[in-house]
Amino acid sequence: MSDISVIAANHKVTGTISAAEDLLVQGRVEGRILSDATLVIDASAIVEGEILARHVIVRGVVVGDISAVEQIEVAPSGQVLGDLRTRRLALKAGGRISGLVHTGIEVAAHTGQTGARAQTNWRQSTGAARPAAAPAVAAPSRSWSEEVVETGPRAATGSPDVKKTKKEPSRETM
Amino acid sequence: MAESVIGPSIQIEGDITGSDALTVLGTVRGGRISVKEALIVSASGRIEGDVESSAIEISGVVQGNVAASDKVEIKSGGKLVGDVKSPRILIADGASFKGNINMGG
Repeated sequence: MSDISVIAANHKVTGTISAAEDLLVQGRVEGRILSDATLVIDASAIVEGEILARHVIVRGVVVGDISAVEQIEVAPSGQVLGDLRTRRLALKAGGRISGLVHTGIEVAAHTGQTGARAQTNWRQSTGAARPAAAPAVAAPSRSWSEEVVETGPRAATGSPDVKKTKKEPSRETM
Repeated sequence: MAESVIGPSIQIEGDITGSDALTVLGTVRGGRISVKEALIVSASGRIEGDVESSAIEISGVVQGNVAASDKVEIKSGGKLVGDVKSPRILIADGASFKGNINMGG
């Protein structure tokens, strides 16, 4: 499909959004957003809730914690009120963050447990993208969180990723 | 582009409300959809819950009650299980429908 998924400016979603494709939010979301792809919170958008995605670009307002497998980018117009956990963070001049920031850590991706299609897409994309990036940061991340991606190195060596389906990140400290 | 598009791999559990048009190629369940302008449920789209709009076009699957101020159209290949309330209703040859129809003003 060539359509880009959009939550338009005059729309409000209340509840959980799971996505395996890029999503542009221009309206309002009250609830969680789980994505295996890129999530753009546009300048007109307000998100109240937790975000977990591969790549998050914040141009609007987010009230809630953001976790990104690859990168969080807070644009000049972006505002985040919540904790950020990501491998890489880009905060542009003018962008605002109010909360705890952890960079350089491995964040477990959205497992896509809500849809078979979502899960498949995610696996395909990690299969391509993960091995190159995986080896670097495993050690220091343990102290931050139990959401360490244990499957990274194993996935890189080509062993089956059966464990991913079973692995539900334990949340003792969060 | 003022309309919302819920892509094929996107699943929403909850409500969608607003004024502009909404196209659903993915899944929306457990909630209520209320949009002032048109709602299009594409062939890959699936909705479990009540739906309210001015014009509703169903090519996918809808399980829930459907209310439109203008019209409801179930296209060929579309499936609706639930009651329909609308002044105008079109059901194409090849569409599947189970429920009550209320066209009364």
